[in-house]
Amino acid sequence: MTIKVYTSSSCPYCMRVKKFLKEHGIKFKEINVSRYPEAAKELKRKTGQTGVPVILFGNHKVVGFDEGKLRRFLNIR
Amino acid sequence: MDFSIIKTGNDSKKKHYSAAIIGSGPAGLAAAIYLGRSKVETAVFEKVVPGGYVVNVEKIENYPGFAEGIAGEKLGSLYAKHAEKFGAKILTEEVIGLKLNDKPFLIETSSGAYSSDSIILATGTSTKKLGVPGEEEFTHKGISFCATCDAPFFEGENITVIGAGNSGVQESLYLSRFAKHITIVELLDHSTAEPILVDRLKEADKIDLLVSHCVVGFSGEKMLNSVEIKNITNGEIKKLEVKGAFIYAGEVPNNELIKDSLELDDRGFIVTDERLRTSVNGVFAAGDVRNTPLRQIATSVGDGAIAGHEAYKFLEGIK
Repeated sequence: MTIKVYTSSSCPYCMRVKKFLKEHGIKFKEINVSRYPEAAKELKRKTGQTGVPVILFGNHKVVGFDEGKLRRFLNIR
Repeated sequence: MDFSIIKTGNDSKKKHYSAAIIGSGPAGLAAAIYLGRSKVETAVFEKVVPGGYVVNVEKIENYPGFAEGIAGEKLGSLYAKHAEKFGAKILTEEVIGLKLNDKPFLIETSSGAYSSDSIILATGTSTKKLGVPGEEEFTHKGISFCATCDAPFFEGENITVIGAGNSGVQESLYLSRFAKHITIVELLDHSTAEPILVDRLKEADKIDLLVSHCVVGFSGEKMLNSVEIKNITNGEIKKLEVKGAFIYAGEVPNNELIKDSLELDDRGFIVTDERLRTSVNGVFAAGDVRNTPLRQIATSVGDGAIAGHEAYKFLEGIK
């Protein structure tokens, strides 16, 4: 299952999410909305979110750096 | 709070430090540099990324030495490298509990527990919420607190910025690269931003400043569609049709960890003396979280230097 992480270039919580996933050896696809403005429109249309980070995998959506949710949904101990 | 797992001494995984700094903004990392150069074993705890709030700022123009400005992310990274060069250990762990009533002080984090002989609190501030209807509901569904993070979502839209202080005006100028039009709503009858920023605001043709108004609510269906504002001179209420709202209406101290254990002023900022000592011996406060007349990067760095030096003197005194 592909994990998509929507980020922007100057977003501290996006950096924190990426660091957390890397520390736990989890592969993900990063979509930077600063570089790809169309991705911002797509995310807004699909999820109603106007902020990053947003992490999508399967039916799950995590907004912001929520370590508890990330651990639970990704089965990280 | 369970501190029973704390071990001190020469464990393979070090859990005890001479100095622990909570927060890695300019104050925390300046303190770490001074402590490191004094050969004090120092840990810096950071819940997001090194640099603190500075990382959110697109361009900093009033910090000495950078006449052309420097990106906040870059400055934060330079601070972290500088602190690490002199031996500070930066731990990306959120501090969730502090026990200050006995020594060594105890620190519980999202990943473990530590002890320390001295503590410097450099936890900074957070953007103050307005506390009006719709604010929670539409946060990240039109409402944002970080222009550099979320600006791309408002390309070609009409938006509002709440607050015409330094942050509100600076971020409005940044957002004007994306938004179609910006209305800044300010409670006072004037902007409190630096005059140089007010001049830029006057020259910006996509930004209007609406003074003597406050926000009374946010509305929409699934996403934000409008903001209700009130004229505080005549009580008239009207709606701004906007897809986005960025809130920069003041700051509140990040004091949750210590609000029951240290003396605070009437707004919740930590009370210190001129040597940045708090009401608990061995605990210091630096930067925006303390009661200071000016909250800037330059003043935070100065605070960090004093707190680091004072913590070193405190540690020398007890050795």
